[in-house]
Amino acid sequence: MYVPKKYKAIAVGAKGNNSSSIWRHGDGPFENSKIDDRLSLHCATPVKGLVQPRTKMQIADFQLALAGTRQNWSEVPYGDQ
Amino acid sequence: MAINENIKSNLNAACELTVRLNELVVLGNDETKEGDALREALHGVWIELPKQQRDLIQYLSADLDLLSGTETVVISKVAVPRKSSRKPGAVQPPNLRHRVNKAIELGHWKGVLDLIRLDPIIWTAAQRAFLRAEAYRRIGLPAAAVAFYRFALTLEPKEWAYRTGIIQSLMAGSDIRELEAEIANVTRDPEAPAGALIISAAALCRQFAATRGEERRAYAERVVDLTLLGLGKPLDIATREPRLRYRARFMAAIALAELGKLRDAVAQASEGIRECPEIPQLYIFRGVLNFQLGEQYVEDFAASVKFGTTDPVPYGIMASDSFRRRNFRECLELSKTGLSLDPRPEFKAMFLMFQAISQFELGGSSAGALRLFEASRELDPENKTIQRNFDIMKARATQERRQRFTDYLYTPDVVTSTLNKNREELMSGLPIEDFTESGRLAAMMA
Repeated sequence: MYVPKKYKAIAVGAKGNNSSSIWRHGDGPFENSKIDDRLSLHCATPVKGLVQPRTKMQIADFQLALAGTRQNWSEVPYGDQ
Repeated sequence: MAINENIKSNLNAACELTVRLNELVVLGNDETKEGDALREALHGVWIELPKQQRDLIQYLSADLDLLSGTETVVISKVAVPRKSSRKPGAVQPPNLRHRVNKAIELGHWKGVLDLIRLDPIIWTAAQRAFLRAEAYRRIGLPAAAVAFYRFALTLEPKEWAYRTGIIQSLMAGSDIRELEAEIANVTRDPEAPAGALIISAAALCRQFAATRGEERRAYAERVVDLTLLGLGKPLDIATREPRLRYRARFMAAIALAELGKLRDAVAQASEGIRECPEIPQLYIFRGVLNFQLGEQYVEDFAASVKFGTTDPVPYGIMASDSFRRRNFRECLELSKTGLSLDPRPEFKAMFLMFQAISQFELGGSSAGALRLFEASRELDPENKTIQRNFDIMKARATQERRQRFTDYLYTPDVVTSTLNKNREELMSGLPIEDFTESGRLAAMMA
């Protein structure tokens, strides 16, 4: 229900706010893997995962590490794009 | 698909929120605080649902795009296998319309929804909305059904099936005001067809069953008026089905009985029996009325037994009659059948008493009969008839059956008290909520 409406061509029943977007990071398969030196992806299910610190760190450092990935995000195209 | 009450409640809440969110989307008001609050509330209930129900809501959200004119083709897993709708030996698979009709025939409503999504535009928008409304109503999501019926009505305002569909959906909910408003729309329209009037009466019948006292009588009067008005009109596509007509007669009979018009109620029940002679509940109901009027009633209960009622009461009444006629073999058989239907304790006690006496009178051992009597007394210790017959039975056992049969107390209290008990309990088998006619959909989609 949070997936923006503009993505309805790729997400069945999307009714989310169009002011949001879906972002992609990397091109690899969606599975447990290293993101960079400080972060990793832990997949709880084939469609749901959590980005978590690889080692124990302060929350502020974790947030900085997440922000550091921003430059590699790309917006998922929708509809006519 | 049987789901527990908690899931059902969350599913309906998610459905209502999805419909509400979609209303905001249609109005272009969803990118607001209200829209975001709805999304948050919806996510809260949606996340609690099992996967199958989450999918149902997700696809409902997609189906509702019809209302904003933004529907897309959704490739989903189709629940109706092609095989089920294919004739043996056929080379070409049947087309989508045929598969949908087959799914309707099989009552496979989720399959109907899946199939429409494959190629929605082969149906008009009104047909799509109607099919979806019918499917969501049958699946048990009345809020979704109402949204689709209302949309169909905007496209074809003269189509009565949509209006009656709204009433049928609202019957399942708790919004009495909305239901009353829809019924008023039907009743004040002089062109309202028979089916719409009878279905409106059925909705009132449900309210009637849920109320007491003066309010109940007022509902009963409206049920009688609407039903008889409907039955007086020419048959339409809905009322051509005898099952709807018998239900209408049944409703009128129940409401008339509530108003104390027992003879009129008997007349309506008899008309219902004429329409559908194989419905056991109608005979039971008429039997109760005839009992109250002091008329012959055993034949009605006999007919309900003949048509395979699963209500133990008629078996008790029949067993009692056999007992009075000293037909112990028949009494024994009826008691055994009655016991197999898991009756309430006081009825079970009566059946055990009949069984004990019948077995003994047919030459069975006194020890076996006394054991059955003990079980009977344990179940209904206050029943004086059972106590009295137990004493007679004991005396006969010790006097080697010299005492005469007629010494048994014949009238079992439990039978008369049951006949006097609340009518709706006996009427629990009345399927007033399902007034849908199998032929209607097919006729409309042709």
